[in-house]
Amino acid sequence: MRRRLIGFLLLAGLLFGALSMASAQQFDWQKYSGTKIRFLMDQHPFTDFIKPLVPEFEKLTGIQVTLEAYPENQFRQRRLLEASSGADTLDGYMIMPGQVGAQYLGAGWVRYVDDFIADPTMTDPNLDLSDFFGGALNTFKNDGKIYGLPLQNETSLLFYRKDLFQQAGIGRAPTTMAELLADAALLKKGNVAGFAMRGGGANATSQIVNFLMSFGGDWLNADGTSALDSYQSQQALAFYADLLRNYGPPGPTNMSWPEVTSLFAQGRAAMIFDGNVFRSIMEDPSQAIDVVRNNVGYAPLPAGPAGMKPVVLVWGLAVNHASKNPGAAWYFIQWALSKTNQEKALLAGVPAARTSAWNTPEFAQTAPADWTKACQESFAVGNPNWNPPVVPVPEVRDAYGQAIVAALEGKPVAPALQQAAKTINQVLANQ
Amino acid sequence: MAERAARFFDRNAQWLFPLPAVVAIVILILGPVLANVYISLHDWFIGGTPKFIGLGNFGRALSDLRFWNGLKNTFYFTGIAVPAEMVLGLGVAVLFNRDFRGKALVRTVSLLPMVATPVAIALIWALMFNPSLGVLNYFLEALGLHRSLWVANSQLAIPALTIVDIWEWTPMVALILLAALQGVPSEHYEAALIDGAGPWQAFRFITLPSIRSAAVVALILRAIDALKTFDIIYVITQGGPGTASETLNVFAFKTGFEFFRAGYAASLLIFLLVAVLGVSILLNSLRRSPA
Repeated sequence: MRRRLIGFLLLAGLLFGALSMASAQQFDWQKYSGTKIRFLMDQHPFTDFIKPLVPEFEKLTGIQVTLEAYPENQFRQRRLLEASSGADTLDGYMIMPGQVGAQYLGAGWVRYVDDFIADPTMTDPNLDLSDFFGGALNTFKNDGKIYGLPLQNETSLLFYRKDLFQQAGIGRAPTTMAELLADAALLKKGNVAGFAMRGGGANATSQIVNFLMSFGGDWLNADGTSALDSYQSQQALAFYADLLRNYGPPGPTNMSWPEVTSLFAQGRAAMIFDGNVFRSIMEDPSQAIDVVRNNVGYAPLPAGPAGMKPVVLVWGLAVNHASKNPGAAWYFIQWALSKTNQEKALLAGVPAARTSAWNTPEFAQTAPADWTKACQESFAVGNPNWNPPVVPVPEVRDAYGQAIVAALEGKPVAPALQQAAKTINQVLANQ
Repeated sequence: MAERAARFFDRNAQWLFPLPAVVAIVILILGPVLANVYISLHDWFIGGTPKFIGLGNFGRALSDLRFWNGLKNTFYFTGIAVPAEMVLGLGVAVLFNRDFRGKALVRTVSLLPMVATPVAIALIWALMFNPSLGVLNYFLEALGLHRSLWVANSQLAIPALTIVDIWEWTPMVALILLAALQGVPSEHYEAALIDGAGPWQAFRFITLPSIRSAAVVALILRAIDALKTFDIIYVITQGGPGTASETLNVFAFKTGFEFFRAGYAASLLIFLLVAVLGVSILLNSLRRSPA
């Protein structure tokens, strides 16, 4: 009897020990209950979406969250100030790596989260990193380490008029750059341009970079100098200038996204290439004429000699390097970007960064199938460097913009790009 | 004690009364100018630490083609806009100095361009200049003329932008000249009429000399303003295509607030300050020299 009791107690002890060990290895949302965290946010549709849901997180975790949102310029200044001062009162922030990634990584203002991801007590088993679009997640990787998670991605697509394509006897959207050029030639008629795209200097660089990459070019060489004078870059710019000078609208050097989208919405261009988000303009009866609304089709960036290499604009959330509560901040990020919340975000109009969100039947009903497909194909392979991965981004864009304008004015491409590369190398040497 | 203080105030009233104004001027005007000079002597990438480089920024400007392009565009813009505003303004002033039906209404309406918000004006003009969808090309075509690229053409960008400036600021010139015209006694014209002067002679020998000093004031005000024009250029072309309409002011703005090179931007603005000062001193001498 006695021996049995001891045996029983021993067994119970073992069982209890095993159980408690298991629970120590389990993820517990309540782990940081009682802490307070503060995030700086851009006044962005995502912030509008997540703010009302924060009480759910506070109830789930017992963590108190302050989301401070400012208009973009003030937000960026504030984030710069707090991140650079090393204030431990800031736990996390929204960030667009394509804008300031080089600066923040270079200065060490982000906190890598690989240790959290590797620790099963710190990471929700349902997080599923592989569910994020490849292009979006890669944006938050530096040397294979992760410093945040994407909350949304945008890309540029080809918008085309199905009716005009049919009239011109073209049975498909262009899938290669060669087809794009040939189609533009066939579609140009009277005052309807075959193809339109931004050409106004610096603001055109975020679009033409898609051509640059698809022709095999890039912003920088391996040694960090400008690669804009490369053979591939010259080919890309020459192709772009050819396309717009011969089959584009008058005055392309004057065009940024409002001009490009209104040309298409008013039926004055058969194809345009610009941000996927401008679908909303083409579906809005107060902005787009009927024949456009009824006939707009979407396709991904046509492939160049180096393949289809679109860039993606990715916003995400990161943990501040100086945070006192990096764990609680990481909890918030996981929750805010969970499968459920990304699904809801997409339905609320934020182009979520999870594939599962884009595959729900609810979302399929709200968007044209060809738009969804074109977006997904681009997100999967997108390159985050829609801006040059350097600190003085605006100066580099400006220098490239000068070359774009020169090419559109019919000046030879090679010297214009050599000049741009020279200016950029001076800027980079002098930062 | 109180008596002594009162005596002190009495004796020094001429210094003490303007003191608040002087302090305000020093803080609000001299302060920023001196700060600008100080910044211009440094290599300062905003966010980094300023490094003293003496006159390095000024030397850099002199060897920077973009600086010379900006200077050229600044004077090109002013050289078209201001003379046109003076001539048109005089014409409008002479017209408004006469009596006609609905004069009060026309006069009020003609002031609207000057009163409206410059950025709003610029946005509307940007739409009108649009080569494909803009209303200006629609009118050109209706008149049987060729479409124009307007600000999308490098050669036309500055002349097209001056149209906006002329439209916006001619009313101010007209207003100043009208006030001067109304101060010319009608006896002068009656005497000239008796002496057998024609309308052109009356205009040349009575009107013009009488409004001369008002005209110089209008000229100086407009020249200073035109050299410093920023809003309409930045909103409509951002200095483009390329740098075709980039004035010194726009270049300095981009350098400082887009490229974050505060030191270089400050030195560019000192060049602009010198240019504006030089022009206004030159024009001011017109006022004193005999006719």
